[in-house]
Amino acid sequence: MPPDLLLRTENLAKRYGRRTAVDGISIEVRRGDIFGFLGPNGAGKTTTIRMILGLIRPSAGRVELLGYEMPAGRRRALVRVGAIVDTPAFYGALSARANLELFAALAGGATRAQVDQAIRRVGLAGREGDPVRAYSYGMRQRLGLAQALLPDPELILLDEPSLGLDPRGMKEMRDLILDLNRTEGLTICLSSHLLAEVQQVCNRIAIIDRGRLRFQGEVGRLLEQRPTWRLRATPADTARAVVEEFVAGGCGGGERAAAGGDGPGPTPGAGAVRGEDGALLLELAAEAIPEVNARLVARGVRVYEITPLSATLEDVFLKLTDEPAGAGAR
Amino acid sequence: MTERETRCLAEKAAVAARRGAGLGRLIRIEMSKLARSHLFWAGFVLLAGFALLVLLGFKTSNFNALQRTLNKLGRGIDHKPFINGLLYSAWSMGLGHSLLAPLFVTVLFAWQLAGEAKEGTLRSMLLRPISRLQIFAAKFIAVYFFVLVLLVFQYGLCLMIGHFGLGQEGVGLVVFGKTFFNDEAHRPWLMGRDLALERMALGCVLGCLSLAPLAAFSYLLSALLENPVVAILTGFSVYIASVLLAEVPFFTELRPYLFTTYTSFWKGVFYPEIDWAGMWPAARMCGLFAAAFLGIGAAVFRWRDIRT
Repeated sequence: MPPDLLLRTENLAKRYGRRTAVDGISIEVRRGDIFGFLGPNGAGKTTTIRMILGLIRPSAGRVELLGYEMPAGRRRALVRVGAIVDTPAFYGALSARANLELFAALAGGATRAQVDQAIRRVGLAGREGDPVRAYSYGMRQRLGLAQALLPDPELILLDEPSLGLDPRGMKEMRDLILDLNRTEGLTICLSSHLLAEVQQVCNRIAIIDRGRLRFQGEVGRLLEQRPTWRLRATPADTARAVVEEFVAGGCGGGERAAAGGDGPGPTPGAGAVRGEDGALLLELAAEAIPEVNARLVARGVRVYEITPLSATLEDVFLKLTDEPAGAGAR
Repeated sequence: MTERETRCLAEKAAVAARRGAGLGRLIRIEMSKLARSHLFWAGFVLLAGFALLVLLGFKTSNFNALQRTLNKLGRGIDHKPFINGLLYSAWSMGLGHSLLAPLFVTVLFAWQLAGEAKEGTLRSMLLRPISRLQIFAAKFIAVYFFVLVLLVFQYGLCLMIGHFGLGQEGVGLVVFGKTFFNDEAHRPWLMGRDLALERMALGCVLGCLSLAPLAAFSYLLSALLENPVVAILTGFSVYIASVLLAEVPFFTELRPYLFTTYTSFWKGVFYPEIDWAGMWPAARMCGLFAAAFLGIGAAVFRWRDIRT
């Protein structure tokens, strides 16, 4: 595994009887990334994270974590990995500090200064002596992050870190994640179904739906690769026919590799044409637009407007997860 | 031995030492968790309550059974001097071992992995760089040590309550009935005070060891099931069913295969002469059952998916 790769999965799969929870997921997390693992509820995000961390044995495929094959190398790998999986769980009768010390001791121990720093870092200073059972959900999430920071991780995996937090708590969690990445150089991999969170925090993402990977790559390039254009032209029927011929001819400009995804294969839905308010909405790569325009003009269509519409992650996410399973990038 | 072989051996020894140190640290952590849990103190409170309940029984009983026993030893022996602290302590211990300890052991061991799995703390532990087998071993050892501490506490508490509540007038301990003997028909006998104290201490330790198969079985259930309540109820059910089956005459063929058949070997300390050779096969069977249950439990825990 190249040294800048901290996590790599290859065709990772998990089946429970006839049900396939995760189906051949291959992702890569690079040093310094804030990697978002995005998908609707039940998409297989938590199962994948559990397989990465050795809590669940894969049915097929492999995981390399910090260069160690999992689950065989989990003891070596987990020395430099902090994680929250699902809801952070603690011993309710013990204080936050006692919990942190206890879990850090399981990883070889942390100094009092390290524990203090982790407590300060997540904003729990002054409350560290309270029993955890008196903590709110948000405080437990913060404590979970503090636990993941001890003793000295290189990579942190966070499963839905903002789940159950109020808007202020979510913002603080986002700021904290960004700060940890920028000031301490921590690589962070987080799963979420909150698109805004991922868009604001992550530089690279993987989109998973119904257990299958639909996209992996940089957020910016994902948005660029699926631009939507509004076309106003008359006669509309001829314009539509021209564009559909263009798309059917394989000129949609949707070659995935060229468009920003990390993996090979066509971009699902590229070149789709929809009608809206008397205009046509085209999903085409920017490079395809002059050619479309030329063909329209050549067929006598009067073109009034071809305007790029700015796509949001939500648009792209919904498109990807609306498509039938199997149409996505692998 | 070549230099390379020596170095290889030294490396293996270092790895083994690190693993040993890791296990030792885990056991200490588990013990500190136990000491800070409510279950720990509940155990002491329950045992103290039980000891007081038995004292109440002693204070209010007319001891007809004891008088009948003494009549067998000789006419005109009054039972009152034998109602002393020693008899109370031995009875409390015997009853505690037969009734309370199995309950305690089942709850404690069945809770360990399943309870932590349900609360999510097992998941948090497994996210740390420690092996599942070490966790499995450390929890078992720590809880077993805790059970020993509880039994020793019960022993000391009963002696103290007996001494101050009933007195030890020097006539010794009259040993009789099913509480002390595996064969009820065994002739009662009088044990001197010092010997009684010594034998009770021995009974305390051996009684603790005799709980190993039940502890290991409950622990296996804990590794197998994600719900602690189901694990505890299953443990109880199997234990009670085994005890009852052993009592049914037409199930005699089944008895050798039930671990409960062998768990009363510790009562051998109450016979006039301890028959070590006679106790050993039952003790060995207890060990074999415990080892088998632990082996299966460890394999299950090692391969199990943690989905809670």
